[in-house]
Amino acid sequence: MKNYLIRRILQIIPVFLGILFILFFIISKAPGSITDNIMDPRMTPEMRAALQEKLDPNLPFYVKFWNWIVEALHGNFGFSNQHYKPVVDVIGANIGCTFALALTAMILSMLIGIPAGIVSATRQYSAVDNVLTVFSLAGLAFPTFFLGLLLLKVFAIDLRWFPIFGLSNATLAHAPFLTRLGDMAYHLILPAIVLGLAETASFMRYTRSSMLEVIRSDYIRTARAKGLNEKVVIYKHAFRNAMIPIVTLLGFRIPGLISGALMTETVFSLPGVGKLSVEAVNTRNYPLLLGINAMLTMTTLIATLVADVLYAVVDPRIRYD
Amino acid sequence: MNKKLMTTALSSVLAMSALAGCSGSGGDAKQILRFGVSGFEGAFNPIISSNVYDAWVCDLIFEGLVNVDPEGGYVGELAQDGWVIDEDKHSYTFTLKDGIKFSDGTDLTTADVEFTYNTIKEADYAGPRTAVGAAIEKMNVIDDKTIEFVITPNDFGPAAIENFTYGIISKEHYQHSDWQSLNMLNEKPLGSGIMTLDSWAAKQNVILVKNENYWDAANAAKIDGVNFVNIEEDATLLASLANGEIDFCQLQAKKENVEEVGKTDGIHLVSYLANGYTYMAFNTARPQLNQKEVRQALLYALDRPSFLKQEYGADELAALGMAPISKTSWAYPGDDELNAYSYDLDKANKLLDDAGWTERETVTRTDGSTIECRKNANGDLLQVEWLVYPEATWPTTLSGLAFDSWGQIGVNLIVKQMDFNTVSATTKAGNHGEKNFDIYTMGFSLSVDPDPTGGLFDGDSIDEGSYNCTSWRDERSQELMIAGKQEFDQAKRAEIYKEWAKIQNENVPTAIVAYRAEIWGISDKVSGLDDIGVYTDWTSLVKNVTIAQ
Amino acid sequence: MTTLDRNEIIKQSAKKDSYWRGVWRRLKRNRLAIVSAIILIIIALACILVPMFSKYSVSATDVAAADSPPTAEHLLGTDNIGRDLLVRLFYGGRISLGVAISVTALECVIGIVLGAVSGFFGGIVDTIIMRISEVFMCFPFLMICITLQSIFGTSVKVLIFILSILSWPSIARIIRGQILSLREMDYMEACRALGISNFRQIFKHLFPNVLAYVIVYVTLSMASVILTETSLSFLGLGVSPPTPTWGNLIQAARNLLILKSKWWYWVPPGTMIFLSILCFNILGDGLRDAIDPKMQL
Repeated sequence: MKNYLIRRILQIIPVFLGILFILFFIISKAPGSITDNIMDPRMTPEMRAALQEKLDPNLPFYVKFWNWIVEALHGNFGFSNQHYKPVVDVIGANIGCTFALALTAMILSMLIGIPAGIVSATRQYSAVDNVLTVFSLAGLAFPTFFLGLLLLKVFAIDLRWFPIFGLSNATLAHAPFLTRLGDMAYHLILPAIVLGLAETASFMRYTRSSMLEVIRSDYIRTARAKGLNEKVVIYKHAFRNAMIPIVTLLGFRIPGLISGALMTETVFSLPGVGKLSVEAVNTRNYPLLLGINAMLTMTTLIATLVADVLYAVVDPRIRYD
Repeated sequence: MNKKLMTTALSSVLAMSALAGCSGSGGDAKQILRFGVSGFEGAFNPIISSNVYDAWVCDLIFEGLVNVDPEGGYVGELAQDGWVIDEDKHSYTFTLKDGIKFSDGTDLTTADVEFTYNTIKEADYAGPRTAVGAAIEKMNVIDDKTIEFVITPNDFGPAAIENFTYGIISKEHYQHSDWQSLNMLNEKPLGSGIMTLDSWAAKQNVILVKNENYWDAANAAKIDGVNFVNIEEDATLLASLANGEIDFCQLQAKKENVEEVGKTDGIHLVSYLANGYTYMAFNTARPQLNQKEVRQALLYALDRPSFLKQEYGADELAALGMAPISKTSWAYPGDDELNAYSYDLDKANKLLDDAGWTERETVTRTDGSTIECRKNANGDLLQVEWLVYPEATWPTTLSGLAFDSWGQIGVNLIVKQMDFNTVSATTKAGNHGEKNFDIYTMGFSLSVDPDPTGGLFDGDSIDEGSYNCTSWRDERSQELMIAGKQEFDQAKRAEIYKEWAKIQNENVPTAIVAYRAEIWGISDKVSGLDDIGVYTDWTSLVKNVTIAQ
Repeated sequence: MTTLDRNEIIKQSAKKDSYWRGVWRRLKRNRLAIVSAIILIIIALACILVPMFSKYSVSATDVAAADSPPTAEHLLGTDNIGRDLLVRLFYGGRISLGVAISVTALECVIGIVLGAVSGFFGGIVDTIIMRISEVFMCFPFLMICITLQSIFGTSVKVLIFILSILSWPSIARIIRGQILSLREMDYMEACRALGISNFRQIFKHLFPNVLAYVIVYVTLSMASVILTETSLSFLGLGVSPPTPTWGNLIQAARNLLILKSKWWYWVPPGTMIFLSILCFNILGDGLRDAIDPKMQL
């Protein structure tokens, strides 16, 4: 087990470096530069070249890659010339929103998806099961942006139940902390529903199949044979065992949550990392783009690692070789 | 444990706010002007800000030597009117008004003015005003209130006044050792304007409060502050305006927006033709596009009036593009002097026949259909690639029309969609004659002075990285541009620009597609903002604004 | 030797025949899956036939009839420069479904070959291929799309190429996992004992066993490619206009004013996207249940 853990951690490093290396290569081939955004008709090509040299010196991509790694080991992740701030500060200002959104969506989807999955499994092939199954398939079939636009139209524009945009109400900037937290939560309801729907659907499907597998297993049959109350069987014995793979699943859902957050943030104009990365691409803000991608890749890799390890711990059938 | 606590707290807050959500804002006795906008980035320094949103914030916090008047002329802001222009010494001399103070109470003197422009001229300055620094040869501080700027011979002329509109920063506050330490002060601005920065949050808001120490009591703000509220989608802006979440905003010039504002109580619209245009640039180094007859034919075969009607809807929202000078400028030659290239497929066909594109070859278009594509004697197909970006809808609409109508005159159009920055980078790459595109379309904003040098039509800036990507150069056009830049007499300048505009209109290396309007939605509660105009920025009106409760 | 081989093939194919017949029998019982398959066939037929028989062509504009809600002339209305939206909807379906089919085919070819190689040879080859697949799975999708499109252009072909290149790892990992577990089974041991070559072992014996997985994966992958193409178009990174795709058509709904009051622009393509993804998902689920309910896909 210990060897397995060490090996998995060591495997992360080449993958991480590989992704960064290819990213540096791609960026070196991508058209456009940071100076495009600060052009002025009166700037001569010489002025522009001088500016480029100051902001982003013209070096081979592997040299830039190497420099980035060395600097990163010293805790310096670059400077965003568009924001005139260190990359870490820019990401820091945006990560709270993404975190709150993903967390809320995840909680919502667990609260709905897991009970629905249990109901569906215990009444397999019933009308309830069919409705829930179709609902979960529909949830997976809705493009995030399309659902977001629809909810915006109905609940924010037509009915005016929810705010249309953003993360906070500017007039509350100096209000007490709890009021602002409440205001933020209010702004996050619609986006969290949109992001949570697909997650809810997948939780439901996983719970259902996991429950079905457990219900069909020998020890549940034994429990029933012993004459235990059906409710006790389902909720005490079956549920507990079915939950183990579902909990480990959380780790595997993180990459999906991040990419879902990107679209959701775009539709609802939320100041999160997803939206920041779209902007970084659009403005050719490469230091920021590298910082964001390094962070997201690391998060994904670590989440997968944790899930893998948890899964191995839970399921003795997995071999560590 | 911690995470569990947090999730419990968050979900209970969520439930609470869902119930109490609608009770929202209100009860604020302060008069705050709320502006719906997106794109501010926190570079609140007038010599560093590189986008219009940060520049608006700067305009409220800082003041420059001069400012633009509603007619497009210049008036003193920090400087007294009647500055002296010495044509022999190539210099502008300004005298400051009396009693100017920064918002912290310190005096603003010529030392601060000199410091501001010296900062731009520093070796490691990496901001967008490099050209301003290069235009100023040197400065002579005559006394506390008088300063002389010597302009480089190339830049000297009536348009040089534009170098003096940027805000003046405090020498004491902005002491710095290098470029990065200067940027550390971007979020702690100190200027002499009517507002000061209270706080800001990226992608959320910028909160400005009244400068209580404003030096010119008669012109101090009547309201207590201005909030910039981040809103990204255009329709979202309008809905927020209707809901009363914001007091005013700029909207896209579309008939739907005009109709929607008309239908909504409590808000009204201000619109004017903007100082800029959308254009279509041809790569004249391409064999298909190096004859002016072909370029003219492509224009005749483009139904621009229908395009304007479908894309903008109402007459007041756009005008047919004619010459590379804004319709609002004194330098505009008048519609009669120019060819409007009215939609006429017969004329287009005739021009192409006369230009030698008489042979035909069957080609399959990108949508799967086939046309008889024109060919010339060299065997070149009349086939063009048009770079279209998806960030705005009009290039897609216009190219959709062209795909059909150009097909009818035997031109095979291939639309290539790429993001805005890629279009910009692709067209700017390579020196003249080596560019790798056929046609692209974009929008362009003009400065107040009509001087076109360095821009889309300057035959001396056709190489890598410059704005003019057409590879087209004409001696007479160049002479006229230089003469216009040096002439101080406005009537003579207008004559020069008329001749120049006609040359461009005849040869169309770059065709002007449309002049667009800018429209603003304003709450009826706000008074004092209705004078927004092509040369009157809303920031210059804030001092007059009052808000009814 | 040869007789034994032939006998085994005959036995296996007989087994396979009844095996697939059993799958079909189980699938037929799943009414939802059958309905989905029928809907998909109808959509596909409409995409082929409607543009062939309509009197309007895909790119023909008519500004006099622009912005019209559905009428007898234009059953699904027209867009802002007067193009018939019914023809564009089904022509767009050809492109969208075509892209989905091509991407799925291409990613399966890449994924199956790499997955099989990885699973069968193991060791350093396996390690390298699996690390590469992890690199591809963690890629910043958007950046890659913009860069590749700016280098290679924005045609349908380029889009297919980009999507396939970025999506092969999942099928590769599935195939590898299957091969790893099948390799341990007895009849493979027997093959090895009989001295059948590596290549033949992979393609003759293992392949039929993973076919079931591929079929289910293909169905589900169709749904996810449609979703990806739509999302890319929503961000303006899809196929270049004026060629319609479902994604390009629904992009109009980014303008909330169209979303609010001009339903005929976006409801039909939205419905088509939703319906086809839903049907592919249901069909995929049904196939999985009919083949092997315990399949982890």
